[in-house]
Amino acid sequence: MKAPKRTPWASRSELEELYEMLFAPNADDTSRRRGLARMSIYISSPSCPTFIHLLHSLISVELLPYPPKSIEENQRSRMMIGMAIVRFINGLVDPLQNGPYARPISHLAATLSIPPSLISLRHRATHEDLPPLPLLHQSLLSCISYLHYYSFLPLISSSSSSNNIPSGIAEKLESDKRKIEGLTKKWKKITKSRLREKEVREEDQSAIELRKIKKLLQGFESGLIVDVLLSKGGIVPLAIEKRANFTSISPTIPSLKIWLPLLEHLQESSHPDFINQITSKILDILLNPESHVTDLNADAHDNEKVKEDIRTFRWELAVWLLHFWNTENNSTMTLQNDQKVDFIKRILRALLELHDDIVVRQLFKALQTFESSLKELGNLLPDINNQKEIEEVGLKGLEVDMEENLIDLRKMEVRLKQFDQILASRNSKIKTNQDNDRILHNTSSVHQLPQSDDNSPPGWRKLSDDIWKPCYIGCNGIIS
Amino acid sequence: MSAIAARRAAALLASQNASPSSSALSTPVKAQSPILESEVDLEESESESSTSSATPPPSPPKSTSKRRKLHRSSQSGAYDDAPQRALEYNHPITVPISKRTRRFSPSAPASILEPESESDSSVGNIDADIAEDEDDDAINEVEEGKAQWTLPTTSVQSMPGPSRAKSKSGPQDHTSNTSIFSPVEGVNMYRVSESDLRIAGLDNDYAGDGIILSLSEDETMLIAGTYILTPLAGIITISSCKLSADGTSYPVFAPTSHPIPVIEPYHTSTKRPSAPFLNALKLPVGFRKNGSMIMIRENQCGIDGLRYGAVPGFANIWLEEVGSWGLRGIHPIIGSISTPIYPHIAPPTWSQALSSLPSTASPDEYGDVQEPYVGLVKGPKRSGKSTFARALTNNLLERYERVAWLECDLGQGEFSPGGVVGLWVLEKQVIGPPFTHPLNPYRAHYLGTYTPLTCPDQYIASLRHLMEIYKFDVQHSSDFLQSKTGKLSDTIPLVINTQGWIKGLGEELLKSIENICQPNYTYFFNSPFEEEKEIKEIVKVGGGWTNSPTFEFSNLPNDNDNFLFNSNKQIKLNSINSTALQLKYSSTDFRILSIISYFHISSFFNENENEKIKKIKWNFNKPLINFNPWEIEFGLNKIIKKIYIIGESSEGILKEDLNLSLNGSIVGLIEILNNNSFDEQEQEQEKEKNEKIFENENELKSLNSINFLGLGLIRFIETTTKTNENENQIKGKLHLITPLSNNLLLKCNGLIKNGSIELPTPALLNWFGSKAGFEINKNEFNFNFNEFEQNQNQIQNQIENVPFFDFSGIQVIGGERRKFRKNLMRKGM
Repeated sequence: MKAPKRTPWASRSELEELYEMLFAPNADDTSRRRGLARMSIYISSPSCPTFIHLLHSLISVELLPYPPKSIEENQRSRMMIGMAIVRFINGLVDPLQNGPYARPISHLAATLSIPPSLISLRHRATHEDLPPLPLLHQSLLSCISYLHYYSFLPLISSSSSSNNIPSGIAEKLESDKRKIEGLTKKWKKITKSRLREKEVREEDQSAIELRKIKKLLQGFESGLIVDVLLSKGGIVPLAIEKRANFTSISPTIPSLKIWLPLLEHLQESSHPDFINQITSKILDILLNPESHVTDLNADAHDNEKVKEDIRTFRWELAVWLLHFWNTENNSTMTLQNDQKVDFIKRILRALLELHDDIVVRQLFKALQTFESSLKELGNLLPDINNQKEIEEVGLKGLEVDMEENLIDLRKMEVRLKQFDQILASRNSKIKTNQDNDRILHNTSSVHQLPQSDDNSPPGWRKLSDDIWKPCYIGCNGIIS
Repeated sequence: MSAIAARRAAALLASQNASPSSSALSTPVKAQSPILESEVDLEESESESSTSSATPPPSPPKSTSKRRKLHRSSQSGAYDDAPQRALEYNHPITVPISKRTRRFSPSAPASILEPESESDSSVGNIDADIAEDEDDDAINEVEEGKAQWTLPTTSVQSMPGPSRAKSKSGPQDHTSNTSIFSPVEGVNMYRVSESDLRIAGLDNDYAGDGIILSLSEDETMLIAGTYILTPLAGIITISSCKLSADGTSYPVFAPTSHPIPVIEPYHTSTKRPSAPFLNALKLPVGFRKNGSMIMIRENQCGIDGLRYGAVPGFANIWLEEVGSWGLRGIHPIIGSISTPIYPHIAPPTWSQALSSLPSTASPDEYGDVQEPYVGLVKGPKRSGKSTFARALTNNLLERYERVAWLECDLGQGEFSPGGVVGLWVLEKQVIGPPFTHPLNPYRAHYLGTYTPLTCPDQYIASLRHLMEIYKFDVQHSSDFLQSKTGKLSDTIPLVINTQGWIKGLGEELLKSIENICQPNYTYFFNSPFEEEKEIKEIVKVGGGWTNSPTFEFSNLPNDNDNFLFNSNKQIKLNSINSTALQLKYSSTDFRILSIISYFHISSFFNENENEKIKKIKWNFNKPLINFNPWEIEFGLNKIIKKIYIIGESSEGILKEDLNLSLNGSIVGLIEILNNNSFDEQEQEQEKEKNEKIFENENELKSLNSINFLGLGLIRFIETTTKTNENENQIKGKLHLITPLSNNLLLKCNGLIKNGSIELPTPALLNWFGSKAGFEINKNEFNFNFNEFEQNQNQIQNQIENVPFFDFSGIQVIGGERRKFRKNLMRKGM
């Protein structure tokens, strides 16, 4: 489990409300002031993230009247904006000063993708004359948008677990997704036709179209592109027959020819992390078969055909994963070693539950041929009830299974008995101590509540167990 | 040779030449950050609570600001003549005093400078860390500088540098880390049961079975855990104070997280006191009655419930449930035990200082009647200030009926979890670390922060106010009960405990405090810094109270500087030796322990109760989230009439956001006293003010009208505002968890919130999930196993919805807590 982080806001929706107040398309000065008031609550807490502090000071400075009304105001504004920008950069860069000696701020800022113009502005504002107001104001706005893009947005729009995305974002995401779908469809169509006609010219109309598509796709968020590509109508062919065979470990050549150029382009140009993302998402889908089924809107239990559709779909995704796994190490389209290790771990973990999922098993088998270290592990996995494509296992195999299960059950029962015995002996020990405690507990302690509270002060009502049940701090526990 | 390489070489040289027994220190003494503030490692906390054996916890994945402290203590650890040793061997260790090697503490890393050190930043609670690390700054620099120039001459037998001057005080009294006592049943040890004691007429003050020991003159006794000590015959000393056998019982708390008090007989030529019920106890014939007899009884107060994991890192401080004598919570240290134990050893200067306390109110050498005693303790952090101040109070309580305590340390309160300046009046000695003896203050002010950095004006104003209250209401008070014990009761002396922050703003504050309080006895601890500069003269600035280490004259003119009080006695003390405990637990850890254990208090004694039965009990049987809360309403004619929000950025908070601001926060419960003023205009203003429920202007409130009662936790708040009502009308209800007793709650009609004090993460979680928690749960509430499992699954599934937590694990730029950079780290500095 990832380590949970303490936040000053009680829930995601609170954070999203703040986002709305500050960055929604219809946000104005009033709503930003409101957002500022919200942020004052958060920054008083010690567990408030740095970017909220920085955003608070930047926005409060941004709310200054611009253009200023008097010369004094002008000077004051310059000072304030200058200070806010300096504190902004220092606040982001200081935690990175971990070495024995201070590293130059420009180096550290580059790792954070802070625009170099801001760095030089900071230097000017600290050591030289204050820059002129228009420049400062503009830089102020870019500071705010930096935090918006790099700190706030990623926190809000995590594609996996956002239940309540603020409406502004949701709409944008939806429209983006539709655009991407359109583009990928177009890509598929054009590439297919080029392949059919064996067209290789680069100046051709189709080639120009393709280039255009590539360029447009660059601008979208990689998470969205991945989602679209891995859902229906993406890299997996719609027709079951065109999908990869269960015994092969690579996508079909036409598939590769259609999609690899696009993927390569995205990886090399705008989304250097693309391959990692897409393979990770593939693995997610493969290791969560239940949710994937619902995604595909399929009733898995009824139709054989549907089942096969799902299975081949998943296997197609799996072979894409294998393809990237197997690519030469020196090309850009390959998985890094640590990513591979991570994937193996996830697969192994999932195999504990999914050991009878043939797609995952087959994937694992294929991986075993790539990575020799996994070979021994394969023997630990129980045999699965194989389906028709794979060799039949006779009744003997089934018997062995049952036997094994029974043995396991018996072991567990023995252990349970032992555990109960230990528990019983501990019970008696603790019980005597508890008894001692109870004799001495003359005053009513917190957890022994008398029904009628005669001595509670007027107006103070102790919530007893019949009206209140334990819940986390911040929640109302009243049983309605 | 570059500085780093030279230092490494020296370290290697030193460690090679270190005596073999010192290498033994390396094992148990590992730096630990038991509480990771920015992340909760739930697995780690689980494993902590599930190990019931007393083995030292494993070293952590990261040590944050510990590294900085490591460095400092690594220097100071080296000058130990009698290093505190863990008991690893089965024979008592006699320490070689002769060899004064310059050793680095074995727990310090061999190479002091590591690229990935976070030593120069402070993490987490900003307020707290500022207060902590302020001092270390310059000291570190100095020591680093020192390391550089002493390197060329370093040899095994090098004389310690100036900061080692502490060792000049000579060998300590005790080097033994174990009791010097061989128990023989029936001769110097005799068991008594609860019923025996009741028959003997002992008050039933909720103690359990016990054991009677007889200590002869050179014997000492170390007992870890929690127990009630009753001297039966003779006088004993414990924690630098003397307890005589008059029938009073004293609860003693000796967790392994703090130095353990040593019980020793005290030889006196006067008549040997004995407890009134001694003869009724029917001791066996062969019992050694001429020794100092003490009775140790079980203290069933519930504090050993910490073992169930309420505060990670402190699960083992009370050792096992039952000790080697078969008594719960009592662990005599006879021979060796596996947990490292550090006895409390007070430097001789302390005992000298304590014995020179004024014993009677007779006229002094000038013929004037002595002024009432006002003692102030000051010094750098970790020097033992609070320990000494406690010892001072205990010693005064031998002669005086009551002693008052003025708390000036916001970060580590002696009788409160912090954030409070206040006046306490004590009637009985207290023995044990601060979190074991919380008390209700006589009068206090809630500042809500661990450092006065953010509110120096309010801090000083509060202290001034409290000092006035002391002078006029407490010092010469006669409205307390008349003394029954023959101790002085016409005056109540005052002990003032100050912050450890003595540089920069801290120094200014300290000067102000001294000017306000005008102590006639000042106890100060030398900082190693001062000794380094070899300041022999105490420069008389401001009456000789506060010395600036670097400058001879203070920078800013201060009007009060010209007061010189003749009756001010300056007493210099040596700091307590640093032990490995300081490396293991930081003040942040103790703060977390204090505040969590505060909320687990299940009964604070009522003021109306019989004074003999003053006993505090804790309930760690369930996590805070399971505590049934109080429900109260706030609004114009409701119980809570005023809600103040103070502190950093509080002025920006709107009343529409009151819900968000207060939900899940720690608040100070206050009593707003009515100031009956006859001025009409004032009355008008008062009335207007009274209509405003919510106030967040950071102006100084009228201190006279507010009294702090205790802390509370708002676990839920709901405001209801109707649109057709008056703008200022806010009302609603809230659920509050607080340990205060009913009669204090009766007085409560206001709240103060300062966001700087936040409920620590472990208190927000359900540590029931740990194995140990489950056991207790099962017996308390008669769950059957299946139901419990179901519950666990339910809670587990809900875990994604815990408020104030983010489970997504997304890392963004600027998404971590603020860390303040402590020094510039320029090359060549």
